[in-house]
Amino acid sequence: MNVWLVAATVLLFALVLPFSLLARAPRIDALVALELASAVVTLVLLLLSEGFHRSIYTTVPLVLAGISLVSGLVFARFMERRV
Amino acid sequence: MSAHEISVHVLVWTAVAAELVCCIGIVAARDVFARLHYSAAASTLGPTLVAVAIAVEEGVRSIAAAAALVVAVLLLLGGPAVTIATARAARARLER
Repeated sequence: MNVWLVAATVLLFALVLPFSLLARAPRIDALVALELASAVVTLVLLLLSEGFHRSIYTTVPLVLAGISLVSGLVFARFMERRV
Repeated sequence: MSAHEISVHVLVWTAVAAELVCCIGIVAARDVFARLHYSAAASTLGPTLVAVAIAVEEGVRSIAAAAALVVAVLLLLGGPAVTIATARAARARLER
């Protein structure tokens, strides 16, 4: 167990808060919670890839960072007009 | 503990503390516009500090540091864009 894995575990437990908001808040507030959760999960994956000393794993948070950017924009656009 | 390890610990735990403040703040905030402050902050300070910590740990020229830096830049540039788009959507929904 090193500092990276302990920090990732703490952040995983912290995810309970935005997920509780995701479950009960109105749609637009849930979208904000989703954006926060995707930033935190990206960080957790970055910490885990360093904690396991496998730099190849860094590809996963890299892809997630790009995808969460696009998904946030698409959701916002969708919620602005259709839902 | 060497200075190298102390700096890594300080950077990582500062990043975790920043993310925890954002997670608590988003639940405590009253409305969507107040919540947006916390989701925007979550994609700026934390990833940047973790990328610097990885650069300190692995060395600036390593692949892990380069990839972590790209992730931090993606989140740093993408976060505000998503926040603005969400704020526009929230205002449009209020005006409906």
